[in-house]
Formats: sequence, structure tokens, C-alpha cells
Amino acid sequence: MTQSPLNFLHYQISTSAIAIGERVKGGTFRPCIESIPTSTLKGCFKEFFGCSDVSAIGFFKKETLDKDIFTYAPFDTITGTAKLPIFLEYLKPSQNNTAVLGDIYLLKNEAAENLPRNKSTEIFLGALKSKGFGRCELSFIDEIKPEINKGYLKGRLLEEECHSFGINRIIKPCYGYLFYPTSRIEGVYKRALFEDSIVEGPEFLIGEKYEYDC
Amino acid sequence: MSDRAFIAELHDIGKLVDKESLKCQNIQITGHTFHNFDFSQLGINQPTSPSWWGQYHHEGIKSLTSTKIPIDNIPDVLLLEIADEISASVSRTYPALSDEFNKLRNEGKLVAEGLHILWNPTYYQKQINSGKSWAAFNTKEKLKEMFHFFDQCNNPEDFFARYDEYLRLTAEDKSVPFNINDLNTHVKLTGKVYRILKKHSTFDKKQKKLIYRGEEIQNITEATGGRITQPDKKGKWIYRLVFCEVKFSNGLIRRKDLNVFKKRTDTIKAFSENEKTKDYVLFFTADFLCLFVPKEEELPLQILIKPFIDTGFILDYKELEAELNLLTSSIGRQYKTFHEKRINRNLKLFEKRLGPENPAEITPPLCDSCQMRPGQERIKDKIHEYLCDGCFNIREIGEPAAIYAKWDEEDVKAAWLKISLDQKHLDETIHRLFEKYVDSHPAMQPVQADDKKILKEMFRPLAVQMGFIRDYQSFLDDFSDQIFNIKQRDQSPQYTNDSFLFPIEGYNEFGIFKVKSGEEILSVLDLFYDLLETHFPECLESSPIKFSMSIARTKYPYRNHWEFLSNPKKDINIQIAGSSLLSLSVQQYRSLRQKLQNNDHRTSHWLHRLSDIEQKTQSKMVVQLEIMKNPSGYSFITDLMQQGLSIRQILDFHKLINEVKGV
Repeated sequence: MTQSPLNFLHYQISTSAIAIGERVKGGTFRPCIESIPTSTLKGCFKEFFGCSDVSAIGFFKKETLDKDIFTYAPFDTITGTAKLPIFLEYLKPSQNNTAVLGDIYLLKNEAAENLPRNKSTEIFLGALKSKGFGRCELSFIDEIKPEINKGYLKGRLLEEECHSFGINRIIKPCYGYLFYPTSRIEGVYKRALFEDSIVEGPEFLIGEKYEYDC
Repeated sequence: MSDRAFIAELHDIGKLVDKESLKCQNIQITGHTFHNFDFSQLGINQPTSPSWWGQYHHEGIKSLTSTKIPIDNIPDVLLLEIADEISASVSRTYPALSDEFNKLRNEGKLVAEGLHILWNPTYYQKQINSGKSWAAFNTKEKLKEMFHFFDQCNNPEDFFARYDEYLRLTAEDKSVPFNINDLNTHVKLTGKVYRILKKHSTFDKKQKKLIYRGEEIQNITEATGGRITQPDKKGKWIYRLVFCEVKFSNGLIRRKDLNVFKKRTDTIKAFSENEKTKDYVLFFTADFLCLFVPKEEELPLQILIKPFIDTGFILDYKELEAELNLLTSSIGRQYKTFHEKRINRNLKLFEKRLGPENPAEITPPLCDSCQMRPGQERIKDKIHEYLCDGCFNIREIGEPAAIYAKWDEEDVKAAWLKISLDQKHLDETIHRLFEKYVDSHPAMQPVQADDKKILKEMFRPLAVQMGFIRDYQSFLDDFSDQIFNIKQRDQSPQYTNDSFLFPIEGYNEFGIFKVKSGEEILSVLDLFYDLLETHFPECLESSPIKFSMSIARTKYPYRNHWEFLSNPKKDINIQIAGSSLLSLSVQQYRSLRQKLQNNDHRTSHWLHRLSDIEQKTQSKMVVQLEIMKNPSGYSFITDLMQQGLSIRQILDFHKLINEVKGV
């Protein structure tokens, strides 16, 4: 087993309710995911810490979460009427847990080094912040130099970010698309690796190990 | 020379001959092939079609240099022998077994009473008791008919149309523990493998060599190699077994998105019936294909499965690439054994995905449904959506479950159900049942432990798996038929075509029905259980066939239903949206059904109380003490807890059968 040449900063987040959505689909149901894509964290770190050059990815701990549905009716201020109700899927603490916990890993670079380490910080992630969703506490855990493993990817990251996350090889890509802002009001969808892709990379990115040929 | 085709499926037709009956009619037959048969006994001549030479497949025509068969037919017979070996349920390369075992076998001490279906051991006897017979040829006239059939038969379909009933009741090998495969499955598999081997090889008549990808062979072992325990016996011919899950990226947003299941079912069916591709398909279900294909250089998979990619489907697959004798459907197990033994032969296992091309970047808008392609604005009934052509076309296929839309107005609840077959669990189940059979059959008792171990190692589950899937299809057919035979207390039908829908024609794994009471849910669950007991009685302990049901009001998001239905945790899984979630083994369901029929409020109260205690203390002991404190009448709770059920599960099941109103 080899070690990654890259160092990462390991943070923990905890929250009481969070909805990081699949990209908004048609219809009235908004499903949520159990990982934090790089695109979401990039926006968050820029907003809260002013760092634009951050490569970070996160995963919620399955044993700490349950899924539930929040129903709300957006209000149309122009017509003065409520729109069709929306069903928003969100994560909440599972039985016997007080918070949904997750891990965030940042590539150690100049921008990441300036992030707070000694005290926990409040950040907001995901949808419906105005309704109380997405308030998270971010705390530094440690700095790591992960082992390299082959296995199934746990989260979502842009294909072009593979190198910066220390992914040596994509064995089986499961593609999807993540939004990538190109200005304050515009952006494109870039090809990304989604859950269940098989990669060779830092162990924190990997769930179940892959034991076959490449 | 006849210009008829060589029909590999006919090679074992002799196994349908009742030799004992014919012996009583003074016709002497040895073995199950007729290459040495004295035709003067019947006063007819030997058949002349090429298929006749298939009778020499057990005569030791292991080399292309044989002179017993016309040179033009030798390659067919050799390829047939290779295909026959791959299709046998236990490798025929027996030498590893002890002399004692071979003696028992040769003395006929292992001959069993008919066919042993691993998951349904009484099947054969029930069929015989109902008057059916395995013996298609038991008189002189019928035997003449068999020889005549060699010259009459035009294709494999003719053979199955005429003799399927007998093929289904005849064991491919009549001795224990090899009698686990019926002849129908065996000859079908042999026929497919033979035709693929033939299609991808050429015969050099001058040098008497068969050539595949530049690899020349003159005998079987040169092509197939030896067993996994023979490190030096490398085989030259490398093929692939590919296990594909057919997936889609379409989101199930609107009712018309359900058409994607029809598209998938139709595409799989068309691919499996197409003349050019059908032989590559060893077996399939509504979302799964098992393929036998040559190396990638010979036939790129992307080209073979183009019909799926063109229609937007994604194939997630595991690919075992190996010497022919190392190919088996227990891919993970085989890979592990191969690497443990550190053998220098060819066996590789890959996990891959093929699907439509994904551009590196897409300018918004993205398709609302699949989110994999650019979307175009589509407006219908004042609703604006962005859909790609693929997802839009899926919606244009038709109106699935049109009646379901009317249920919205009735304000009723609906149960979405899905039956599915877990292929990994099936592999484990088949191995478990085979090992149990080897260990438990009375005829196997004198067999030494080492021989039993080798038999288990040499097990090839491919044909057995094919047989299971055929029975699974008939299980689904029975389910979709018998659902309409369920009666209410007043003997009127519980369900009609208006209250129980199979939204996608030909896709019986998926249904939706109206729910007014727990009784209706139980009637569907009971039918599933009864049919499982009928078709797969040996799978009640641990079933690879899963049942999932999600109950909610009709407006509940389809995608949420589907997410639950697609990920069964246990054998039986029930979700009442926003209320309870229940995952049970088949045995636990049966126990709950037997012991929890009482619909009185005291039981409900008592279960709620125990559930509170369980949640607060997280201790089974405290719960048990509480039960003991109670006057008699609730000992059934202790019995259910011994089945591994928690109080919460018992309570949820009680709620399910007694009140669905609150969904």
C-alpha cells in the first residue's frame, strides 16, 4: 500500500437538518444526497472564508442520519399566491443521535492553511437556509497523509479535480454533472465522477474496496 | 453431404430414451449415444443429417485427427464437446476424484431417482405423480421416430417445441450429485455456446486445425485448458462471461416516465431474440443479462450492446475473461480461488460501465429528467420543463397506468410493489443448496470427504442459474395471474384490472394497487409467500427473490417509491411513507403472520408500551422481564423475539395489518 504525496486537512461538520439537493429536477420532489460535492464546498468556503482556491469534498456518516421530507409552498410575490407545494428531502439525526455528522477533507494548500483550526465555526450549506436548514458547525480534526486504495468513490467531484484530490486512476467512471460557475450569474455543467465510480486514490474518498483487475 | 445445419441441441436426445422398456422389447442399447447402435434391430438406416455426428461427442472424439467422422463434421463435434463441458453443472474432468468414487459411480450406486431441482426437490416426483414422464422414446416406433427426427429437425426451436415436456423432466446426468440440471437447460446452453464458438473460429481443413484469434487447436484440452487445480494445463481459447445490469438515468418524475421500464424490457427482449445476438445471451431478466462473448479484440462489447447504448441505457457489468475451462458464473468466488492458488493461467475479472457518451461540458439548461444531456424547453399543460430528446421520447411512448391518474381524485392510498432477483444472493443460494445436497443425499454417505470437497469445488452453477431464472419467470407469471384470483370474504375478487395494475406490459416484477385496509396488503404478501413456497421451497430460509412494497397517498413522489423498491434490505420490505419501515426475512414474516392476527386494542397498547421500554432501555432483558410480569396471553411476543424480531418490528407489523388509514 502506498501513501498519497498530498496532505489533507480533516474537518468535521455537525448539523441538525440539511438538504444538499440533487440538481433541481422537474416536478415537486427535491431529493437530497448524502455527500457534499466539491462544487458545494467551493461556493461555501468562498462565501464564508473568502477562499476561492479550495479543493474540498465531504461525506455524511450514514449511521448518524435519517432522511425525511419537508413540505412547503413557495410564495409567488408577483401574483400574491402560493405555488404548488414542494417536497424537500433532507437529512436529520437518526434515532439516538443529536446531530448529523460528516467529514470534510481539504487539500492542504495556501488557501486551506488560512482556515480556522482552533475553534469551531458556523457555516451554512445546502438549500432552504431561510427555513433553518443547513446550519453547520465546522471543526478542525487533524492533518492527514492518506493511504492510496482502490475502491468505490463515496462522493462527487469534477473530473478535472481528480488530480488535485490525488486520484491516480479512474477504473470505472460513473459520470454525472456538477454546476460550475463561470461568473456571478452564469455557469456550465461539468462532467463529474459520481458515487460508485471505481478509482485509485486517497482512502478517505473510498467506501468499499475494489478487489479485481483494472 | 447434407446441407442441413448441425443442431447441437440434439446431442443428448438419447437421454430421453427409456432403455429398460426397449430392452423388454428386445432392443439393445448401451449408453445414451447411438454411434454404435445396431440399426438392423429397427430395420432402418442411420440418419444422414450433420446433427447425427453429434452422437459421437462422448466417443472420445477429442481430436480433429479422428477418422470416425467425415472431415467436414469433425470441427462441429469438437466444438460441441467443448460447449457440452462448459454447460455441465459439474466439471467433467473427473480424474481428481478417487477410485472409490468412480467405482461407486460405475456400479450405478449413485444413480438417483430422477431430477433433483436444488430449490424445489419435490418437483420431479410431483410431475411423475401427475402422470408426466421423462421418457419420450419407450417403444420401437418411438425410437424410429427419434432417428427420423435427426433428418427432419430444421432448427433448435423444432426440437424444443416437440420434446420440451420430456426435456424438463430428464436430468442431464442421472447420478447424484450431478442430477441437478434438467436437459432443457443443458442443451439450450450447449447450443448457444456451440454456435458462438463456431461463429468465432475457422477450420483449416488442410492442417486439421480450429483457429480462434490466431490460436490453433486440435483437441479439447488445448482449447479449454485443465481444471483450476491444474496450474500447467493452460487453455488457448479465452472467452468472456459478462453479467450486465441494465440501468437508466431517467428520473421518475411523471407517470409517463414509467415508460422507461417498457423501453428496457422491450430492448432486452429484442436483443435476446434477435438472430444475430440471441446466442450471446445465456439468460436474462427484466433488468439483467448474462452474455457469453469472445475477447474484446474479436468482438468489442460496445458494438454488441449498441442497441442499449443507442436507446440511452447504461450497462454496469462484471466481466470474467478466462480460459474456457475456468469460466464460471460464480465469478467472485472463482477469482478468489484463482488468486489464492497463485496459478499462472489466464483469468481476469473486471468491473466496467458502458453507456451513451458524456460530453465534458454542457451549457445550461440540463435535462430535468436524466441530467446527463442538454435539455430543450418543452411546454405541456402550461408546465415548462427542460428535457433531452431521449427523455422526451420515453414520455411519448404512451400512457402507462392511466387509471392511476384517476386514483388521485378518489383520494386513496396506493401500494407500489416490486419483486426482484438478487443475482449475488442467487449465486450464494445455489452454492449453499448444492453443498447441502452433496452432504445430505443418502447415496453420498459412502463417498469420502475429500471427494465431496472436490465435487463442491468443481461445481459449475451457470446452467443451474439458467434453470432458476426460468422458474423465476414462471413464478412471476403465476403471481400476475393469481393476484386476480384472490377472493374477499364474500367471495368477490379482491382485485380487478382497475384496482391492481401492472403498469408495464411484460414487466411482471412491478405492480401498483389500491389500498384500503391492511387485509389487502396481507393478501398480496400471502400470495408472494405461497408462490415462493410452491416454486422455491428451499429458499424460504434465505431468499434471493425479494419483495418490496411502498405505501403512500397517490401524490407521493414516484422517485421515493422507486428508491425504496430498488434497494431491498431483506427478503420482505415494507414502507408506509412517514410512518414505518419494516424489513423481514421470509421466516420472520411467516411467524408474524401466524402469531399476530389478534386485532384487539390491548395488544396494540401492550406493544406500544413494550416498544417504549425497548427504545428507552435498549435492553431485550428488560423487555422480557416486562412480558413476564404480564398475565398470560402475550407469550407469542417472546416467541417472535426469538426469531430475531424487535418489539418495534412487531409493533410496525401490527400497525400495518390493522390500520393503514393514517398514511
